[in-house]
Amino acid sequence: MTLTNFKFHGGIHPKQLKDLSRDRAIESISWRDEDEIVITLSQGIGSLNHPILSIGDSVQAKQRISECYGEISVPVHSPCDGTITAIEERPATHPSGLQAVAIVIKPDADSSKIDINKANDLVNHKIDVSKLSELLSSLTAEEIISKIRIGGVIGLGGAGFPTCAKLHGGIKTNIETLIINGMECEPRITCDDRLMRERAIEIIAGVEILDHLLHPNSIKIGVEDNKPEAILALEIATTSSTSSIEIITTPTLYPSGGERQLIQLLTGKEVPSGTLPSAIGVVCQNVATVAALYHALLERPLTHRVVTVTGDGVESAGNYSVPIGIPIDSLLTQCGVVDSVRITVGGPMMGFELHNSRSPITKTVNCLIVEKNSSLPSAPERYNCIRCASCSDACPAKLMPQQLYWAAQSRDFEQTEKLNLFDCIECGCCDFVCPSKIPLVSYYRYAKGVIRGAKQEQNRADEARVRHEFHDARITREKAEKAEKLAKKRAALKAKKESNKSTDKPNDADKKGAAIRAAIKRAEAKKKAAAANS
Amino acid sequence: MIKTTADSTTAREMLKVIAALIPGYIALSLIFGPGALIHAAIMIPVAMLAEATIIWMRSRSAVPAIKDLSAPLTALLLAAALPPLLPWWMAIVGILFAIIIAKQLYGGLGQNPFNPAMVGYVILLVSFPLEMTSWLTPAGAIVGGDTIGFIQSAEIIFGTIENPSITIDGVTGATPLDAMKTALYQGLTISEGIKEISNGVLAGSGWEIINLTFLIGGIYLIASRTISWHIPVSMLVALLIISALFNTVDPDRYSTPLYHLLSGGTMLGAFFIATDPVTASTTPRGRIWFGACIGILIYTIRSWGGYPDAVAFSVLLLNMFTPLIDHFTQPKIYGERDNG
Amino acid sequence: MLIAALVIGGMATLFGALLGYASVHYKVEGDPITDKIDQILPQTQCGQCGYPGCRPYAEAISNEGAAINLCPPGGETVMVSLADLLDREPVALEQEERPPSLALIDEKTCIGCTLCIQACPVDAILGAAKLMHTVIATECTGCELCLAPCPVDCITMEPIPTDITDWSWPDPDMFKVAA
Repeated sequence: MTLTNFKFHGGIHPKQLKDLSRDRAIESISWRDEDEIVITLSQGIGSLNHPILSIGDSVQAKQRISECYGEISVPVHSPCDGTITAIEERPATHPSGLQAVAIVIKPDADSSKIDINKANDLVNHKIDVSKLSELLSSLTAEEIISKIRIGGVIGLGGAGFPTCAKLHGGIKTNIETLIINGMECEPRITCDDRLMRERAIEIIAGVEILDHLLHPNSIKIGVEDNKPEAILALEIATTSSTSSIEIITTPTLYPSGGERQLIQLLTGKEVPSGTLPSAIGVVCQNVATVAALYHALLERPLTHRVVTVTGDGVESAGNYSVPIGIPIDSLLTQCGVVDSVRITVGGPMMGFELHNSRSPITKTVNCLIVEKNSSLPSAPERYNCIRCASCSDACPAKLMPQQLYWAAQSRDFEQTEKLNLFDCIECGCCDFVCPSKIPLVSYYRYAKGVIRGAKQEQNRADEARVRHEFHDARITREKAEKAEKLAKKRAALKAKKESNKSTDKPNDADKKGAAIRAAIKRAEAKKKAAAANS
Repeated sequence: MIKTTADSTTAREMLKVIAALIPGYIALSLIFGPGALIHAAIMIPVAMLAEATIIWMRSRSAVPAIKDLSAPLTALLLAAALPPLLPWWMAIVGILFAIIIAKQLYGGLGQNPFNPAMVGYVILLVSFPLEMTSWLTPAGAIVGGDTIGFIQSAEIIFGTIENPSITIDGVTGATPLDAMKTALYQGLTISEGIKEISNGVLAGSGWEIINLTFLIGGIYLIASRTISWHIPVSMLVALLIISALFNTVDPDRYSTPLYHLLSGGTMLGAFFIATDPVTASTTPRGRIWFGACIGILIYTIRSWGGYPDAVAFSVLLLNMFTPLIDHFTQPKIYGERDNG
Repeated sequence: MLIAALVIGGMATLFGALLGYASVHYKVEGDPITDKIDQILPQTQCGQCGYPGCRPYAEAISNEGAAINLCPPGGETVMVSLADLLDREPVALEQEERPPSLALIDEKTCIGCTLCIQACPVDAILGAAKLMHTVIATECTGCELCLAPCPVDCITMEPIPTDITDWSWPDPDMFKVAA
């Protein structure tokens, strides 16, 4: 275990609030008999999925149920044996509260018990190291990435970026450092902590796969110093690994787990604005993603994930391995949720409030914070910005949040872009420190939405202009062509009339007569020849 | 909406600044009598009332706006800068100007381009030059001699005595800075001028102590992270350097650095006035430019300008340049590219 | 007196010459203002402004001083952008702003007459004589020029539904601020 030498700018120390769940081992929760499994077709970033089965078809656990095209796309799978009962719009687990198309599966009776047994088997799963290296040497890099893609693996740390796309970018360049993100810097969340403590060998196996794929010069696993047990578990697991892995401890500071901040923290390098980490030879993966890609390589697609359920609104807070697609209200009922609660999906800094608890667990849900409405503090009073600059002191991206706020507030969106609005990672550090309690991140999200919408509109308008200009040009050309044809025809007709008048050429009737006479002559000649021969 | 926030609020930050003023106020009261306290006592309620009234006239809810404590703070800062025996109605005019014209007319907290307390001070200085430059002789427990008492201060401030036993003209005089300027005009050197100033130790000993107490308050503000170090340090260092430069070249005409640092409103200005977040620069590098220019301007106006003290004017002049300074000192963002 | 007159006269000649040279040497071809206006307009080519297309309207604004509030598809955003660009006062829109819509051809009713195809200014209708016509949704600008020519009235305008992929965070200034 080593300590890091580097720092990033800013950061905050919110209350950790991890005690409710950090010492609860991962337990399996499965669907109840009355539940449906709702698999939203788009989970995380990437192009849309299309269902490949129809209503009424039966599915098996781990069966792929969608197809998708393009490099940045990943399919979804069924976590259960069952029957597809619907393919329709269902509440999505999304801050908008809107609906999205989902495949709805009714699990077979008693299949939840099988699910839990399988999950328990997974806990006692042993890694056969030699088999893994045999498997890796038998596959090409493309094949490995393809298996990871088909296994449905996306970034499980929250962003949901398709892992295959990241790795594709990685194998195209020279990767110096592979960074594994075990920071879990947001308060409340403990699922990665437990994963590292209980399933370290799966994580290390995944790291070995990435080592084989990317051949990095160094591999670093970053863990905050509030997780000593996880650090120990990882160290024990790395001793028996064939790869040389460094475990680096960093001081607990939010948002150390942000990809760009983590890269700066472990390597001292900054990822240039507007580029991906692979541009500086770094690939970063979350620990849960790494464990998932190991399973994907062994033909076990992503159908379950660990979710932290915490807060004073549930009786049994803890870390639960749940199937993707289980409705959130089913999960919470099984955890003993009380009445009148506020549910937050994600952590307290970057999460969003969930209004419809029938929406399902998706691949990117890492935490559910359930708080009694009665214990929530009242909304703080908001004052004017006093330009104290506490926000820019705290910003890990070294932006000037108060200037962004003034520009966004006065609808000067061009200015927000000049102030590097799109480098904002929406971590919420500025919101946290603001003494006037201004909801700064809301302004930046709004501004980003307006600018993106305007750019889309502009693109459509440009395209429409091009099509219109072509339309006009086409009409003009057609007119010109028609006129030309007409002119030619007239000219030809005129020429013919002229030529008919000027010379005494034999007319058609004469021509016909001559042809007939010639034919008769030929026939007579033939007759003569035939008579001569016989 | 998710709201996890730190404990700091605008009101708490203002309270910390008010607390940091306490040592300075104690020194002011001990050395010049309770004039500053009396002024503060009438200016704080007037400030809050004026602010509440204007906000109510702007059809917004007045009570939450008052709770941010920015009006009382402005009153306290202005009261610390005023001469201790200034008539009460002049103090009221000053604070009303500061709150209504310099702050609320621009849109309230956070919207004003100029430091309200300094605007109030400058209006008074320009309109009532005699009363605004009539200070008491430093006296009292620390310095020695008798200070003026509470009743006498109140009587003079409120102008209630017909035949005052002590008239303003009898006890007041110029500040050390003022006296030094006069001495220089008369052709005396600095060291000779120092002797002219009451108890001339370094800067007129009463004033040294007042500046030192404000310095203590300022150090507390920096240590408690209420203000950042950039503005006070750059202002004081700039003032130090330029005064040291001129003092070395011509010690007879230009005072020592220590004299400048500990006289007049230097420390109050460095830690409490120039650091007003609403009107100062917000970028780290910008703050250093801001503070340094204030320091240089203070020295310039003190040495070659018409007024003996220059903190207020310097701060107001630099307030004008804040947007420009901010524009040119944008910090490099994470991952900033040179060809970006 | 004479000196003064000569000096002023000389300066006037000098500046006049400079201006003349500049007007020739720095002459800008084309009409940049019209291009800028055209950039802002939404390119729906619907003619609701009274001009036969977006480019003619842009020319009218810059050359004839036409009003800037005649574009319903552009809505308030376009009007304000034009006001900004041309330093004019923003004016309320003449017509009501309608939600963005797409044309939809009812295939059962379509008779394949190609009149709508000829009417579409951006060639967004696919089809041929006596064959099925259909609107290419991604290219339709919602200008509604195809509705009138259709002899069997089989084209309707459908508002574009907000999808979860189009959603963006709302304006936070719906909350009041203290002072």
